[in-house]
Amino acid sequence: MKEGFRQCTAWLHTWTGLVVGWVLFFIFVTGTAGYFQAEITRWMQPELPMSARAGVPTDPVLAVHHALDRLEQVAPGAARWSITLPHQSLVQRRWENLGVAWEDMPVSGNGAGQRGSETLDAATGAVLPAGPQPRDTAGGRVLYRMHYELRYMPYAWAIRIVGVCTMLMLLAITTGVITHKKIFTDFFTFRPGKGQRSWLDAHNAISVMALPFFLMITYSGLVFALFVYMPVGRDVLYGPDPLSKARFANELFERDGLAHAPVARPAIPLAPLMAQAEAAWGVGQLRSIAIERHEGGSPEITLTRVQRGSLDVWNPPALRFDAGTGALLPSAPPPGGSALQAQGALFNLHEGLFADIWGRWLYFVAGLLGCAMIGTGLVLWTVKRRRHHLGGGQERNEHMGVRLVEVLNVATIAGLPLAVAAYFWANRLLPLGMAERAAWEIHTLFALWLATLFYALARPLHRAWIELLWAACAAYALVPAVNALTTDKHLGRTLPAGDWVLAGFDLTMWGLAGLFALLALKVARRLRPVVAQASAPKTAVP
Amino acid sequence: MTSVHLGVLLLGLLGFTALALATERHAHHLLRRTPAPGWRRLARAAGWGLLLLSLVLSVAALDVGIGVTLWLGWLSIAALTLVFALPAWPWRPPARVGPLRKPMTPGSVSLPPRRRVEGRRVFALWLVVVLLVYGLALQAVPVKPLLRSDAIEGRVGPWTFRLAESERRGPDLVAMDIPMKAYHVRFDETGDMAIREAYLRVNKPRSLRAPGIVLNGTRWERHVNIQLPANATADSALWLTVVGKDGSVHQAAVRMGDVSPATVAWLERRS
Repeated sequence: MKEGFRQCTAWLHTWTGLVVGWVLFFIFVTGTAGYFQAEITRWMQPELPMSARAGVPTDPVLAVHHALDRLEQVAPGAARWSITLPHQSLVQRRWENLGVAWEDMPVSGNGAGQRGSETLDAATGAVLPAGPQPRDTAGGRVLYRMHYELRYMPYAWAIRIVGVCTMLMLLAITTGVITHKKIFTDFFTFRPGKGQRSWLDAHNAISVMALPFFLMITYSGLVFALFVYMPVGRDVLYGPDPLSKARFANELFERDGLAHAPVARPAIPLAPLMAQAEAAWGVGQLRSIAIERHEGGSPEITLTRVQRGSLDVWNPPALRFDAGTGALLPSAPPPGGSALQAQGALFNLHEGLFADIWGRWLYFVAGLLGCAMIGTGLVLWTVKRRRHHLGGGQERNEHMGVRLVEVLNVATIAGLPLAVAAYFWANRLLPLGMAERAAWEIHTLFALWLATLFYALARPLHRAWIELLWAACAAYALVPAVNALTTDKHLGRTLPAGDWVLAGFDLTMWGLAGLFALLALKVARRLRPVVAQASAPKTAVP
Repeated sequence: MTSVHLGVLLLGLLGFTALALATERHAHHLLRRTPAPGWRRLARAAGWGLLLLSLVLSVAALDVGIGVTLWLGWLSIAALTLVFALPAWPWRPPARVGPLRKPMTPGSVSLPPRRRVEGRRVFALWLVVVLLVYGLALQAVPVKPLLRSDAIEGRVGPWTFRLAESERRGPDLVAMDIPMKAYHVRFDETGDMAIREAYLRVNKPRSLRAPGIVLNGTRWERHVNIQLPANATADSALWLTVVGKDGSVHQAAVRMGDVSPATVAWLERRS
């Protein structure tokens, strides 16, 4: 090969990006939605009441007292008690009321006992009703899970397909940096209205600016399924069968295998311990209290801090006390040591669970930029190879491969967002009483996505682009309207009530509609003059 | 916290603007004159300084891990805003006059092959097929088991319940031809809060130590998949054992033939 290194990487960049581009676009769209999965689920369950945040901070000592009363009554002799104090949960993304949860002693022969939980009134200790039953919905969670489980295929296949695509994306990012030789001199360059040059500028700018995010998200995505992609190390040491894998997990998470013994109300008052925790972390930073006891040992009380301010979301600071004497016990080392901690930090970087509302929007925008990077890259491939302009109606002379890529581009870049909007529509319009309603919401998404593929094949390409983009715009713009017609949680009520999760969803839909309107206008403007020129001789009637 | 985030963004934006002024091309674009090299060096130093300052602000307010992560995020937003805002700056550099690529004239285009138009029709047909299949399949979806008319209403202790089989057909055979049947149960609202757990089995439990299989779920619709014993007939009963949170135990029986007629028919055929 006589070509230089950079030409080789350019070739590699183009083809690795193209081959898996559509799958990556799907992964990015559904994964980006995942950053708001709790909010999406919340919106998809309109039966639940609007957020009634307990504004008055109640006395935590009294609340814990009520909680212990209730646990003594409902779960005497359980293996574990836990009390959640009222707080704004970072991971659950909602206000958590005072709650109690328990795990019964396992019945002989069973690994785990029955679990139960209740929500209590922090002021009176009364058990709060569970609230209305929400509709059967797949919610934001299933939308998010699609970004690594895909759909309609075994998990083992899906995770491997996603892994290969991610690997190729990492390759495409690396080669892209090498290919883009004027990365610093071109840093701020965007030249609009110049066809291929503008696409290239936009692709470069987006990719370079959000490069830290892309590198992080791709690499940490691979680390997620580490032992699916690179199982040899574990299999050699522990063996490949499920039993050995369980042994590996037990050792990794240091499950000591000690049996639990029944717990009871601690003899010592909890107030001094809570005061100690508040002194260490600040007022209102105490999240939960757990009481458990290992066989042969004395009962222990663990106080845990609200998850905040650290990439290590799943191991928040905790204080452990002896329930008999009230003595502070040495803190347990994090399970799995620093290797597992490093892995946990990578996972949290990927999922963004540590982020507050600003960080969450940053992640969301970065995800959209990822979609834009893949989208512009895919379009660029066809723009480069397009011998005739789309608008000229001459695409039928084009090479079969170019046309295939074009059609897949339309169906993915314009069709998939439309299908996601249909998912939200399905949540509101499918009959509430139908069996497997949640599955049908997803069937709707994929049926519509398939339909957009055939639509793109059946229409002239430039028309398909413009029409599907407008359809996506209309679909998103009308989501709040459908919501208002079918539920009572519409903007007219959520905005005055200040429920920013529900109102924010509807407003975001309008934002996305605006984005698609902009795209549709841009594409239409790009294609129109050529249409006019090409058809001018035929229609030039004064 | 909001002011920290906005501060990081603003400092990033200012820093990148200074860095843009440090380049010949963008400085000319922004100022309509090319500044002196010394001046540009100063702008570069100021740019990097501002970016560093935003990092310091972010880390100081959010700690190292989150601070660096979100700083990079805000820098991305700042830089992209600048990139896409710069072309809108009034003193745009004159566009290079180059030969425009001419669109092909209609005359030079060979006539479209007939095949392509027919291909389009085939795809349009497929589009209709997809939507039709979706619509028909949607029509055929049954209602939820507990909402069907064949769901049984009953009382267990102080609470009412509804019980229905998942599928109105014979049992599913698992390994060794063991017949399994899935059921859904829903208690009324007071019962739902007051019930600790509930169990289901065929035939009366001999003792309360073996009440059957526990129903999945602690709230609203609970479901369970139970094994049908070899001696099950139309006269056998499904026994629902409910343990309240107050420790009370209640039992109720429903005739197998009432809940699962198809299964009873299957059992009789087999015997």
